[in-house]
Amino acid sequence: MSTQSTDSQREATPSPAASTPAAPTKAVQVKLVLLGEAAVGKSSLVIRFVNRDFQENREPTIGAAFLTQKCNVDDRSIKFEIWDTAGQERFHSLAPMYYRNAQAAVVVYDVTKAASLDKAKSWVKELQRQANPNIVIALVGNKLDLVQQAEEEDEDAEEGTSTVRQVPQEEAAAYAQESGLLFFETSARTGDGVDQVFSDIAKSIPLEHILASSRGSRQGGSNNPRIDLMREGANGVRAPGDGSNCAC
Amino acid sequence: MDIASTAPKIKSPLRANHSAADLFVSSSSPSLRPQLTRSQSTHSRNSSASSVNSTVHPHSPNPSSLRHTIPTPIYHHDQEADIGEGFSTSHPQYNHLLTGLCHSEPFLAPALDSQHSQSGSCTTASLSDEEEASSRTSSSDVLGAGAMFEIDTDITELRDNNKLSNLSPDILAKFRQWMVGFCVVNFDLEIGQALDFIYPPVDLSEYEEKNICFSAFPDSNVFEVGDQVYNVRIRASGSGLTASGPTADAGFLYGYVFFRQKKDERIRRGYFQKSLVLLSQHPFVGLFSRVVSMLGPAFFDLGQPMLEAACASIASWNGPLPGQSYDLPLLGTVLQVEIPYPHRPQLLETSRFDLNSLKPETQILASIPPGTLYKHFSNMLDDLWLLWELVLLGEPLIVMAPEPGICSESIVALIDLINPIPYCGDYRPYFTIQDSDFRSFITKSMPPSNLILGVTNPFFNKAIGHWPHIVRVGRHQHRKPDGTIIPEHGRHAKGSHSRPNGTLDFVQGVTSKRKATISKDKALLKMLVESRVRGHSSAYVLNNILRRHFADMTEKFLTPLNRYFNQLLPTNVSSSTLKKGQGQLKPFQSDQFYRFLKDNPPSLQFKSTFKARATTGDPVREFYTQFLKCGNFATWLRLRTNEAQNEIKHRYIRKLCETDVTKKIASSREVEAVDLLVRYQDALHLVQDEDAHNTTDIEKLQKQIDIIIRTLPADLRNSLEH
Repeated sequence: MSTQSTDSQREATPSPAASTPAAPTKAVQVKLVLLGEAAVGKSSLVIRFVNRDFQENREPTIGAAFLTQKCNVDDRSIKFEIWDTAGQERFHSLAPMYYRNAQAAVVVYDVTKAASLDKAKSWVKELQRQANPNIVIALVGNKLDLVQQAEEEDEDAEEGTSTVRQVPQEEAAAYAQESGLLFFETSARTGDGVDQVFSDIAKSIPLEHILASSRGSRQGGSNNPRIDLMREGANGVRAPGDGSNCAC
Repeated sequence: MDIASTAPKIKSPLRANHSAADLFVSSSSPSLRPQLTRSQSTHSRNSSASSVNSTVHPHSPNPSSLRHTIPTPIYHHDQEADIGEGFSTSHPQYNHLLTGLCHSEPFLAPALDSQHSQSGSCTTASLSDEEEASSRTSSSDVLGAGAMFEIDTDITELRDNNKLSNLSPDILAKFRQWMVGFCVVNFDLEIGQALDFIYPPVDLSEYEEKNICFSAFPDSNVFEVGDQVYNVRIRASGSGLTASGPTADAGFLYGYVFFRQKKDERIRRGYFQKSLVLLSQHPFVGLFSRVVSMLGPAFFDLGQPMLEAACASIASWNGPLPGQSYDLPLLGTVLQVEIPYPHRPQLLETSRFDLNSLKPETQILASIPPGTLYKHFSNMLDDLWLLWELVLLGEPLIVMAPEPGICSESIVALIDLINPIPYCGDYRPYFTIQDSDFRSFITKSMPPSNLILGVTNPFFNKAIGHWPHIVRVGRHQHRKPDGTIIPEHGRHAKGSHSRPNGTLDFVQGVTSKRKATISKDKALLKMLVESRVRGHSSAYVLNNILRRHFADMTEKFLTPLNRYFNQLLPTNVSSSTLKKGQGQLKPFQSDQFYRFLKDNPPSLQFKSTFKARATTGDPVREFYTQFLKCGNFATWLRLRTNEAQNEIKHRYIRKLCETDVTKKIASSREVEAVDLLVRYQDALHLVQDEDAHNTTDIEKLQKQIDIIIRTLPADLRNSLEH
């Protein structure tokens, strides 16, 4: 997989057709939602993936942040539309808006905080009950760097500090297996495993299905009887397919 | 209660003999009837009119302290208020509140519900409120997710200002490029319309706040239970938030309202009536109507976090720049939005959207909602040609509709009819009897020209009977008991879904003193009717065809004017043409134009009857004469003149930049060189003042100036440099 970080956008940007060189193949849009307890590193994970960057002590997200990232997998171009939701409890009830129609979800927990896995499990449950039935869910244990640090320092770390792993990899992996989830451990700080999450999701998504359902909406069917009604015809000002609809 | 007593009972504001007692009209009905009252100097008043002997509280105590004394009418007003100037109208909308008023059980409501200060835009929580809140429990279904959580009577109440996320100044600045903020307006039984809070906070003047509150609710009984999205245009010159300058937009804010009315046993009057109002400096009716229709229901279901989430999202949006396209994330959806160029109609053909597979929910032309013109005028398409003339000529128009949504969208569509001519006048997509301009607009004399009002209150039926042009548009939409609209084709013929009392009842059409002069396009009408019958096309496609027809018609109308105007431009710009930025534009002379018009008539189809009717025997000239007298012409001419002078200036600067000064100076005397230098320096200042980001021109001019100075004798050069 190759990510094109120049295509990333933290915010919506104007997309005049002239400034977007037409991609050889049209990117398939994939709606992806990030869920998980507050402060497990959801935003850091996305920023690492999109901006190849890490920032200590980020401000908590309000509602949800939106980012896009294009990546190429197996000759196919995918544009992730990422909804990075707020972990704070008061925003919990907003989550359905963000996972509605999502094709992929990344549920994040903190490997140094056992309770965050419980929260992750409840998100998985909610997704399996409420979200799109074909949704690809990835379970991600983040902050792996803290654990590795502690292991390198060899048992010197004090008991009960956050640098001790509280969620054994085997336990989370077993849970993921039985629930039919992809499973990863990552460090947004170092970047370890981050790209893997998104590229494996990209491979797991039934793209043909998405293509079939989104074609027509974006490109337009040519044998639509409506065209006859248009006196000005279908040959409007804009040629079909001139890269019209996205910033990337 | 019998029907007669629910019928709107209107007291004309025009009547001179008002006294304070008029405000306490005792209802003939045995039940209580809330009365809305207003005067220029009062904030808002609401009397339950239960007794003629009610006392007026000049300095009303906090209403919450009076909560348990239900029949006591509470007044909020300044002591100086001249009650005699006020007028009262019984509000048909609130007749159903009777039941709520009659309840005598103890009423629990958070103190904040109606806490309202004369000047305050935000309310703050009290301690007792918090305690009260924690002691109550109830549950509500959440967004179909089945998630349950405990809430109070009204989760949209602002309990603690500090809980709302603060936007940092730079984030707020980005947010304010798009909009001012969201107002939550409550209809409170005791104080009437009251602003709960604005987020992000902003200081509004009292009268701006008042106008927003009064615009935030339907002015007539629209439905018992349901939602309504509509837009308003509010006079708000004092806030400093509106566009300034000589445009029609100066001094106005645009409001996009999501109004919800639902039964709620926990509220004393038995009804929850609240509005979320998006306030913006931009007339992006297509975009912002969509935004409030997404955010409104979510906010009323889930409360403040929803508002914060939306604002955080909006603050991440770039732009808006004219003619640009944006992908705007909002609440889990990406809206693809096109911003209009000023004074240019937004049509699907010129957008990046595919005409044949448009998704109107997410693919949005910012200036105009999908389907508007066709949707609302489909029963009176024939009248659109006359309406085009009326709007074009700046005639005063009143649009009556059964609901604010239909009303406001119809007006937006009418203004758009004459695009690209900017409408010169004042227009109010939804105008209520409580508007601060009510008494200057609605008088016994003829209305001013260049005014378009949209109304739903049946009161206007009588008050505007003397207006020369009245448009009645739209049919009442029938709703199920849960408030959802029953689609036209699925409606039962039986009268079970009757019109609520006090709504407008009329036959759709235009009543006008003007006879149409332009012929309708019969082929187009036939095509529209046929495609509707066959169900071939989506409403938005037909709407686009219709809008495009009128945009073309306006262009055809403008052709002679544009061509004549082009003759007024200087043919060639020499470097001596321009002095201090003034172009040598010849004046627009109507006699000259009429002569030109005779040789260059427009390709408009005038009615044969008009040709016979025209007094001069020249219908074309007569039509243009009418236009040249109206405000739209003045606006158009000013716009064209500004454009032309800019163009002249640019051509002149370009010429200065391209001139070979070395050669020019070689053949001229010293005094001429100095003269040239002065001209270049003037041009440089002009560009620096008006077009400072144009660095290429500035650099070029500077270079030319340097060349000229170098050719001058040393002594002269020294004196110039100092």
